[in-house]
Amino acid sequence: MTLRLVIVDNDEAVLELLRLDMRLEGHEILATALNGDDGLAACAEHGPDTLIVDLRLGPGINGLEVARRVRRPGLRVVLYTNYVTPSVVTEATAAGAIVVEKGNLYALRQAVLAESGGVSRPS
Amino acid sequence: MSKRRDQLIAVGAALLVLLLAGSVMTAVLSAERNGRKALEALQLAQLQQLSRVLDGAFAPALTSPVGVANPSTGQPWSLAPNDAADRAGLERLQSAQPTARTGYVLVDKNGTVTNGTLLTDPGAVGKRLSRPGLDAVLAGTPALLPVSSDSLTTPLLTIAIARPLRTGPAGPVLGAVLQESDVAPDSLFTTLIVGFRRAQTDEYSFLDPNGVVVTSTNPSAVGKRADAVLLDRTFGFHRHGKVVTATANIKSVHWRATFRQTTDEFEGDVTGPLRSALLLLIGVALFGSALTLFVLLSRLRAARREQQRLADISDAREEFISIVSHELRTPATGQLGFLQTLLDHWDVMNDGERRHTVSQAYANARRLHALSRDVLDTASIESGELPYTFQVVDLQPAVHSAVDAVSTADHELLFSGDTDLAVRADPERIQQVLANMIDNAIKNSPVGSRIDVHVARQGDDALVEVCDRGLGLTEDELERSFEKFSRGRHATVTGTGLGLYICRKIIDAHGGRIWAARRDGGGAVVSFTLPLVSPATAEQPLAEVPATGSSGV
Repeated sequence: MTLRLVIVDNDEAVLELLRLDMRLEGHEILATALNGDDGLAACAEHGPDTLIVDLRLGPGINGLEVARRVRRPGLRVVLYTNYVTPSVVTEATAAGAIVVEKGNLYALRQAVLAESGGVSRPS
Repeated sequence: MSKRRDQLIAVGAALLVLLLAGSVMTAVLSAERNGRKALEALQLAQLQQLSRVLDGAFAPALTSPVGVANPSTGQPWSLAPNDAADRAGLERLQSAQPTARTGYVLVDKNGTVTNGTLLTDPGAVGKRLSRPGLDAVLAGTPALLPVSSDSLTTPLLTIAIARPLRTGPAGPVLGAVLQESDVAPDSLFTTLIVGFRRAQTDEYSFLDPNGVVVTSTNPSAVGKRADAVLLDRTFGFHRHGKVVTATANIKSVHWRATFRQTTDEFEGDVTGPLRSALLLLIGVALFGSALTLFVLLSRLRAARREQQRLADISDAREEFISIVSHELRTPATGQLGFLQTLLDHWDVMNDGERRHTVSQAYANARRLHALSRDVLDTASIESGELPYTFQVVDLQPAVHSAVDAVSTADHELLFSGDTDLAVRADPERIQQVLANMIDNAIKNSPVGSRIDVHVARQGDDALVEVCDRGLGLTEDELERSFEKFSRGRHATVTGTGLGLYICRKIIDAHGGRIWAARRDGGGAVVSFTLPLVSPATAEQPLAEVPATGSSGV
């Protein structure tokens, strides 16, 4: 199943990895962004199926705020972060996003394909 | 534990000291008041006792029948002018007096003088004596006549004990005998009462019924009308302004015994030491409470400072752990991710993609390695255990090899410098410093820009500069660049913020100086100096510098 993706992370190295892996998984990368505002703009422009967004994006809005603002039917949002805490999960779930802890690409790949929200941790 | 509560305890303790002092002060003041009252009572009692004694002395003289008959003949006085028997009787009375300052006078029932001893004017016999109070005596009542200048026996003022003369206890009054006594300042009476004085400043005076001072410890007051302050007082102890007075009654002669002294002098003996003690107590209490407050508050401050210091250390440690764990995690997950992708998609990747993925994993591994080294170095620096192996180093080739060791395809790296710069240094640590500085320049400047590394002699120092053409540094960043965890303001710049901190510590250990500045035309210059070693000192051959530099963070 091919999905159309937008990826937002302030670390260029992470973006490069996700671009490579998602492309090899058969998905189409519509755009990447290094901050929240650019990420919002990319979503508005390309209308992706799935948004992968980091929580901490440096100066400007964070990943949770991006998730709240882009929320619309048919758009899956995956919050890909090092900081998985109960409050982050609660807020992300309220924003309709899935939380995936950084470090395991299997979990991310499944979350991108998943049908419903929830927390996905590395096994 | 709240700061406010501690301060309240300190203030409370100080208040307690004040309260204690206050209660002691109240007790002392009350004691002073009681002491003053006791002193007043004592003074009045003394004066009343004196009055009773005088009363007891005067009363018999006034009532005694002794001397009413002629002591020479035992017969009634004849009261004929210049009668020889009367004269002899008066001489008999006169001889019983210890001094020659008392004279006797006889008057008949009309008050006419018939005889006398020590008469200053013999012509007085036959004239009527007009002495106040005499009429009452001739009416039958013995009296002590008030002070008068109508004396016959002395030119001085006198009082006079006057007794009526009768034919028998109930017989008609024939005349009177007067015993005149002078009231001069040196009179016998005055000499006697001076013995009552307690101090040079107190004044005892005895007033006749007219308020004239009969005798006094104050010589200038004798014979004159007393001061208003003594006259207009009822019996008892009085305070008025700066003077205290006491007045007692000598009933038999209608005299008044008075005492007068300044309040300060009167109370001085009792309240003086009390007052000094009180002042001392107040001083001690104030000093004590101030000291208590000071000591408690300063201890409180010291405790707070220590608490804050420990909290700061704890915060710094937590921040360190938080930052380090995050920064270590990023390259670790990057490394894992690239390897995972490679494994999962090996079959669908071409050779170029595989090589690229492996090189990315390698770059992350290197970053992880550099970071862990920085963290270990920081820990060593902070525990004072970073080892140095000092030797004399030729700086120019050392810096050159450090530049050569940096592999960057994205930046143009140029080296220039003076030769023969001998410094005493640990070559590996200097390589580490340069690698960090160059890496820092690369991270903070745009791809394709030029980075200059320059070595020069500057006075007694060797100067090394690394100039980039990046965004430069703000004023704040110039100050903070060398602090732990300080990082560039650009979101994409990553690192622990330990690189320049470690550089500064290493250069400090070399006795050099490191600083950052803005570069003219944009960008930053990070420089350090090391003291040059004189050729005489540099006897040993210059160390060979390994060409394998380590890359910076």
